[in-house]
Amino acid sequence: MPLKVALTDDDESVSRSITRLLRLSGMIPTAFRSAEAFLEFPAPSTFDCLILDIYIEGGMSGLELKARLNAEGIRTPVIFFSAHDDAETRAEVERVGCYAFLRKGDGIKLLLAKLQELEGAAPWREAFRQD
Amino acid sequence: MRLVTMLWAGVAAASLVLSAIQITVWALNRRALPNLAFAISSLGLVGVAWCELAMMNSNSAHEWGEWVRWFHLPNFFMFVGMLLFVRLYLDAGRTWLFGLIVSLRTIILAVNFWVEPNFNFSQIDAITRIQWLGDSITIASRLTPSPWQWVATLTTILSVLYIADACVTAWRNGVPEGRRRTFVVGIGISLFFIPAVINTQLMIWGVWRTPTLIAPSFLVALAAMGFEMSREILRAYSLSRELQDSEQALQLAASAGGLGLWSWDARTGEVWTTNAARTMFGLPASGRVSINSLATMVAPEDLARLDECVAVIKQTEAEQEIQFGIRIRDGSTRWILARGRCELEAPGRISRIRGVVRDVTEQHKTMQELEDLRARLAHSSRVTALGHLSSALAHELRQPLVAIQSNIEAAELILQHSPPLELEELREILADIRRDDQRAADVIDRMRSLMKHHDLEQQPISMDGLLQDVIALVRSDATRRAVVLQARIHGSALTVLGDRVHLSQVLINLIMNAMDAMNSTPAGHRRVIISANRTGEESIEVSVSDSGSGISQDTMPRLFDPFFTTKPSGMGIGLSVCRMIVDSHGGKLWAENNDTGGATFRLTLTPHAA
Repeated sequence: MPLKVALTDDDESVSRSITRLLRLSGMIPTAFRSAEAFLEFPAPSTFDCLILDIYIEGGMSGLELKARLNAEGIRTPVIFFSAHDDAETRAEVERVGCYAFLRKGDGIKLLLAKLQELEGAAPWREAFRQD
Repeated sequence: MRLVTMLWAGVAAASLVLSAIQITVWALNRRALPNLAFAISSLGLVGVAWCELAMMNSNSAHEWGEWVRWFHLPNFFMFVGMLLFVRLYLDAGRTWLFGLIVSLRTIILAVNFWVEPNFNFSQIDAITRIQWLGDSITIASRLTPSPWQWVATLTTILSVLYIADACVTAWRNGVPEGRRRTFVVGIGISLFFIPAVINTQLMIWGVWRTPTLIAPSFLVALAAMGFEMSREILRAYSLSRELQDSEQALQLAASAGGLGLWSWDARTGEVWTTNAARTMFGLPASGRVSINSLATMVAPEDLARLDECVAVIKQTEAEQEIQFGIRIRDGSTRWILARGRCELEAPGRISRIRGVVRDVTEQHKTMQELEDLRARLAHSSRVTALGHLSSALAHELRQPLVAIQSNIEAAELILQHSPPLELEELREILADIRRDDQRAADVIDRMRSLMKHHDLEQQPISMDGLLQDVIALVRSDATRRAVVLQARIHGSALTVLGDRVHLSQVLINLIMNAMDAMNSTPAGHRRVIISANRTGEESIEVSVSDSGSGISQDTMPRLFDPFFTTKPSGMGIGLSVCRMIVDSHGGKLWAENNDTGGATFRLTLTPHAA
């Protein structure tokens, strides 16, 4: 069963290219341009994984979104994927928690590996679903 | 006979000299009409002396009578010349009286050569020789005055009245200088001339028998007046001394102030300069200087500007100033500050252009060094600003790189199928990679242009493009700090004249400051508005407004001071450099607090006239 992935990134190029890569890798990606747009999606819990940019132009940050999901009890695994990597950001990430925190500088292969890891851990997925 | 001859000949010689002096004065200054009148009078006196001497040497009554007749001719000029002199020199006297006297004397002169033996006498019966001043001289012993002699006597009386009246008028009107003139002229005439004339009249009427003594006594009167007039010459002399003194003082002041003086004569085209000016231009101390030879020394790039300045000088008569470079013969370059003004002899006719030059090479060098220092300071401030932006810029650069990486991975997945199934997708991927590559290159270009050392270079800049560039550089940082950036350009196609790099630097600095000012503002309320407005024919205003805490009263006055900062890690050069840059654009930069909170920095720029 293909992995359903939601991608939230304000950068059009990044969003387009990652969506394309995930699709060609056999997943089902859905792109959102902002955290607000994701929240408007009627069924956020249908996704197997959320890839979140941390700082999103002109709106709610990925960290805030994760905090909101935490509050709503939505425990879909979140991978933060950001170009920023500083102490303050790391502390924030630590606070809201996540499945993985990847830097954009680490390369796209690491993101794919993490997703495939999730894909292989189907029982995990089921466990999350039940939760 | 010897003493009398010597005396009268001396009188003639002396009055000839007086006459020559006054004629020369008049020739040099055609408006000196009193001097001309004086010269006519003293020239007349030469003839009078001659005739009197001849009378005293006469051997017969007939000869004596003939000389009396000839006496009238120079006497006329002496007389009229004197009246004219009084009139002109004292600027007084009744015109009708003057006219009457001159008319009567003219008639007398004409009649004199018509009747026998002359106007004064109807008959001269005998002469006699008497001893006088140790000499033997001839005087008339038996005379019959003509019946018209009273006319001559009348003119004499009228003349005395005329002179007296003129002196009184002049005395009354007179300033001290005029009064002294009146005094000398009045005394000279009344003391010496009037007694001599009375003597002559009495002699003619036969009251007593003496020779006529007009020549020597009139000479004394003339000498007094001549002395008075020569005061003017003395004054001219002292004036020329003073002039020399003041010229020397001027030269001294000029050389002490490092100034060279010059003037250009429009008529001859000749250039006069002081030695200091010649030294400045590296010219020899003597020899002709022409405008053309000077023009060849002027730096070619300044020549057009100089020509323009000279054209303005010729038109306006107002003082003009210009700075230009010159190449000296020894190959060095100097900078000259020149001021000049034209002098007109008539409206629209230039007589000369006069001015000063000053060697400002040192100042110019200092200015250039200062300029250079400013550029370095601006550069270092720019690099510092970029340093603060570096992590945001790294992020800006990462985005296209991540996109490219993903696309390459995607392309490889497509190529794993042989033959590839999704060729169309592959084509899109290549197009995307090309676009992202360009985007990364743009980020690098923008950064590099700010990193480079850069001299001020004014050019037309579109406000739209400038703001886009600046926002592209600060956007990542703004996003990271949850600041919303808004650009508002009011009015279409606003174009300013300025230096793109430096203006970008100013805006980046202001925007970064605005974001710093909102660190304690809750996220969601952090907003920076950058707007550009046309505020007038000659001005475009750009403002950077934040929604932070505003600027405190303590901080406001020192905001733009160098090394003043409220940030723990700040150097305090950002805003002072911003102000320096805006100043060098001929604009203003200031800050104010908003009514609704936060602060706004405003700067004015010059629009580019399309």
